[in-house]
Order: sequence, then structure tokens, then C-alpha cells
Amino acid sequence: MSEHLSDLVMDEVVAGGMSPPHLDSCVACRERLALLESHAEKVRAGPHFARVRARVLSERAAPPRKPGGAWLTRWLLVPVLATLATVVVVRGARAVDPVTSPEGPSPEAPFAHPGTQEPLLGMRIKGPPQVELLRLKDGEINPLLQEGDEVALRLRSGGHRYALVVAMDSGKEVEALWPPEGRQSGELAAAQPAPLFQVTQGDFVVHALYSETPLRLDTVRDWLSTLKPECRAAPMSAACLSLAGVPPGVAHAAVALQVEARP
Amino acid sequence: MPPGLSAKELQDLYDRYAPGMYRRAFALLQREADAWDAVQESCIRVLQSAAAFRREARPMTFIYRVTTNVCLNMLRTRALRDVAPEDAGSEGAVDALAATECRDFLMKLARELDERALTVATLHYLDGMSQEEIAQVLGLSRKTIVRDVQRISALARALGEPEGIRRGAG
Repeated sequence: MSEHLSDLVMDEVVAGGMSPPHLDSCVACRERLALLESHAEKVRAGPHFARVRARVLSERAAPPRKPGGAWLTRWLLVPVLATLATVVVVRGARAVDPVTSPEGPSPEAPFAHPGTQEPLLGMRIKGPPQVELLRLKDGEINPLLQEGDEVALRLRSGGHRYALVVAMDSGKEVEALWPPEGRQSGELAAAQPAPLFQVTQGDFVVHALYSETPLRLDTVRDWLSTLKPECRAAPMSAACLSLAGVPPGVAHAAVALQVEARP
Repeated sequence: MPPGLSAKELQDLYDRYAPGMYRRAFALLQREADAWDAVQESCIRVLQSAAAFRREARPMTFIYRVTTNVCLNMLRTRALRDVAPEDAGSEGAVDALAATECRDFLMKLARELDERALTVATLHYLDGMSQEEIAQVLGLSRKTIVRDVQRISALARALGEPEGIRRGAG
């Protein structure tokens, strides 16, 4: 054991918990505790403390968010600024998220794939084209979703300049997800708000088409219409990533997701 | 929102835990606005998991778990942006220099570790937690944490662990 109390214990004391006997005999720990208590007071007196408290309380009072008519509706409540130019975070090994369950931490490495030597911030990470949905409440990647879950779309372009992202439901209906205008590919180098969505019940597949020149939505629809029925279900086989008529230089990534009704 | 916590309970929870949440969030995120966003998000998650929170024998472990996860997720999101840390001197900083050094080291480790290991590393290096405490916070066995810490320590040595960095005891 350490000769001093950890901050976990100190925080418990600062939050009004029992004071361990060690504190009576350890000057260093008493000094640390005084520092943390003084810091806590300073934070409480600061301008942001009351503002954030009001927001948290208003969240409790807010009615549950209603899903929209479509199976995947745009979620406009949280304007997170991120640039799709660098939406290149890659997945780590799967595990379980610690936030809402005690089993263990969530599935991905926060910055990059284990083993990569790439710098982290504002840098492109090389890798094959990929598309993922990250569930905001726990950071799970491509999880089994529940109606009402809020998700962020994440793209890895594999170095391509343009992307067009669409969703296809089990009825083969294709809806553009990104860029917001949706008629043709958007340039990944341009700063864009991170696309956030709220899902409604029903299975769907998100397709991302990466290219060096913009692709038209109608063209992509034609390509997707050639998909076999088994490619509209999760899990998808690698063969489903082969689209008839796609020219060289266009990369296709897809992820199939299921959305359950909320119990 | 499920009626898990009354407004009074939520306010008490916030008043009690938010300063510590903020201190830890700032140590990891190094930006005041981001740290407050993390506090807000962490409180909302506690609110959403009120039943589980109530069941905790040691509520602070739940708070640490949620805050750590939220901050690591935010750092991952921040990897999509180019955000420079703020200068020291903000209301968030308690051990400004040590925290900055520790965070930079964690970011180095992040390139090599999966998320669970990074969470363990954060609790070990940033919070100086014992392996027993980390096991409690993450709800994992002590044996698992011992193995994780051994692996992380070996990697840390190979990467040049800063001399001044504090670490949890065994």
C-alpha cells in the first residue's frame, strides 16, 4: 500500500465522507486534503459552477427526446464542432464500457489503433476506408442500438478527398446522411459539424463511398440497387462491399446496424 | 428522463461531486470549457444511471468511472480537432505541471493501449490509485488489474516514463 491516501479517498472526504484515521497522523495528506478542499471551494465560487448545475437540472426536467419519423433522424441539439477532414479515428479492441455497466471499459482506443505510431491530434491516420457509428452515451462503436440512441457518424477516408454517406433500410430505401445537402459527395477537407443522429427502430446499413471526385447520389443509388438481399442484414460479408459498376478509385465501406425497440 | 433522482438529490449530487469531477476532467482535458462540458455530461450519465448509482457501495468509484470514460471519449473526439491546451492558471489546475506531464504521457500511451488499458493507466498515473482501488472503480478483478498494470508499466518504461510522474501503489 502507498504511505499516503489516494485522491479517490481524499475526494470522498472532501465530498463529506468519513475521514480515515491516517489523516490524523499524516501532515502530507492533511496538506493535500486542504489543497483539494480549497480548490473545491474555488470551483464552487467560479462562474461556471452554477451555469452547469442549471443545465444539469434542466436536463432532468426535460421530456424524453422523441424519435422522428424516419428510422434515422438528424439530431441537431448538440452542435459539436469537428472537422471531417480528420475523422480518422480508428477502432481498438472490443470490450465493455464501464460507464453504465460494471463489466469493464468501452471498446475502443481513444486516439488510435493499438500499435500505430501516428501522432494523435489533428493528424490523418492511414488505414483502409471505413465507416462507423459511435453511440454518444458510452462510446460504443457499431453497437446493437436502441430506439432513441444518439450516435455520431465517423468516417475514415483512406486518403480519399470526397465522401458520400447514405443509409439504406431493409426496404432498400436510400437516404443521404452526409453531406447534409446529400445530392453529391462532400469534400472531407472542408470543416463541417460532426454529423449526429438519433435512431429509430429498424435495421439499416450505412454505406460510405469515398472518391477523388464528387459522386452523385443518384449514381450511388444505382450502385446500391445491385446489392444482394443478404447484404442488407447484419452482419455483412466482405463480398457485400463489391458494388457493380463502381469505377476504380472509388472505395466502399459499409456497416450494418440493428435498432431494437426501447423496453 | 427516468425519474431516478429528484431535483433536490441531483442538486446535492452536483454540489458534492462536481468540483472533484471538474478537477479530474481539467487534468485530462486541459481546457476549462471542455472540462465543464465533461462535468455536465458526467452528471447527466449519473442521472441516466441513477439506479446503478444508488446501488454503489462506494459512490465515488462510480463518479470516477463515469468521469474518466467521458473525458477519454472527449479526448478521442478532440482527436478530430486540433485543440491546444490552455495555459496553466485556470481554476481547474491543482497540480498543473504534474497533470500536464501526466496527460502528455497518457497520450503517448494511448497510441499503444486499448481503451480498458488506457483507463487503467489513467487511474494509475493521473489519480495515483492502488490496484485495489482501480479494480473497485472499474468493477474488474484485482488479478486483471495487476496484469494490466504490469503490461502498462513495461510499456511505460519502454516509452520513457517521466521521472516525476506519480503512480498508484500495488
